[in-house]
Amino acid sequence: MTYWDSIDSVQILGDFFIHPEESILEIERTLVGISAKASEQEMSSRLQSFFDGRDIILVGVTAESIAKALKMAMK
Amino acid sequence: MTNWRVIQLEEHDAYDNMAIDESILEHIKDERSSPTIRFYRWKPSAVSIGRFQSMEDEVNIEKCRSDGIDFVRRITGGGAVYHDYDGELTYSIIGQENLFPKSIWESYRMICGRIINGLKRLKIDAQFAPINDIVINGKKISGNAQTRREGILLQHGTILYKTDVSKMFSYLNVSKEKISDKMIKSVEERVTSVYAERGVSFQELYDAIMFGMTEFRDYGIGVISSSEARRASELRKTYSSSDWNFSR
Repeated sequence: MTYWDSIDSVQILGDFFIHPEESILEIERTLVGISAKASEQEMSSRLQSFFDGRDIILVGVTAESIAKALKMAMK
Repeated sequence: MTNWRVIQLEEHDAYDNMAIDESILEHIKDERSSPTIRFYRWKPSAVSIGRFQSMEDEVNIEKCRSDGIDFVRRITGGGAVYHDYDGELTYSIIGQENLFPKSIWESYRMICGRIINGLKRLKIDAQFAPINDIVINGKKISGNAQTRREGILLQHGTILYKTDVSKMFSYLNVSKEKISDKMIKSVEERVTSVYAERGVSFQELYDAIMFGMTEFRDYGIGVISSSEARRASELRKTYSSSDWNFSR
């Protein structure tokens, strides 16, 4: 993950499933531009609005857990 | 009734194993192959990582290279797995999504149920542990991973025959502090194997899982077609490439 005032790039890594798998790239793109000062809740909401209305199934990971990991990575 | 093709136990390296699974998936999608159940071992032994994992984070690449252990990124998500040649049986099941429950959770339950039925033949009482594991008294004996693309479901998984936790950890990047006797003991307490449970031969395990996967199914014994093999040899280039394996 790289960021200054906002997230420049991010890779979400780990032991989980996302169907379809290719949507990981869209998810990561969605996070680019989010202010580094955004709260975990704001990040989670941004992800959740991305998931809403899309046919993406997450197994072993959630919008909340991704947001939490992002905030931890920024500490 | 669907006519399944069963490809009996084969041995391939990691790149061929992954390439063959994907080639079969593509052929079923193009209606050039029947739904397929395949059994295989990994020769040489190998580490596979989930689609979203980092090879460098998960795998002791230097140790794998020096011991001749393959390492490959799977098409499916999930975690890193050490596939010991002597220590496990791997299967894949590939078919149109409408042959399985629509829900991912229910389809895991259905396919894992067949493995559980197979293990019953060996008098092993195993249970499905959602989302994608099979356990015996809480100890893991099988891990499974699924993908769905363009209407086709592919699930592959392993059934542990004999486990060597210290060997497994030597190829995975677990921090040195964690590879203590205590940690190994703790994992040994959470993982079991068919041999530890019943002391049967690998052939008996294979026969039992074959029974579980094919019971009540209309099937015929088949082979990988020449077209599937050709496509697999192309896909092998991807699976053995650094671009794919180190893409994350």
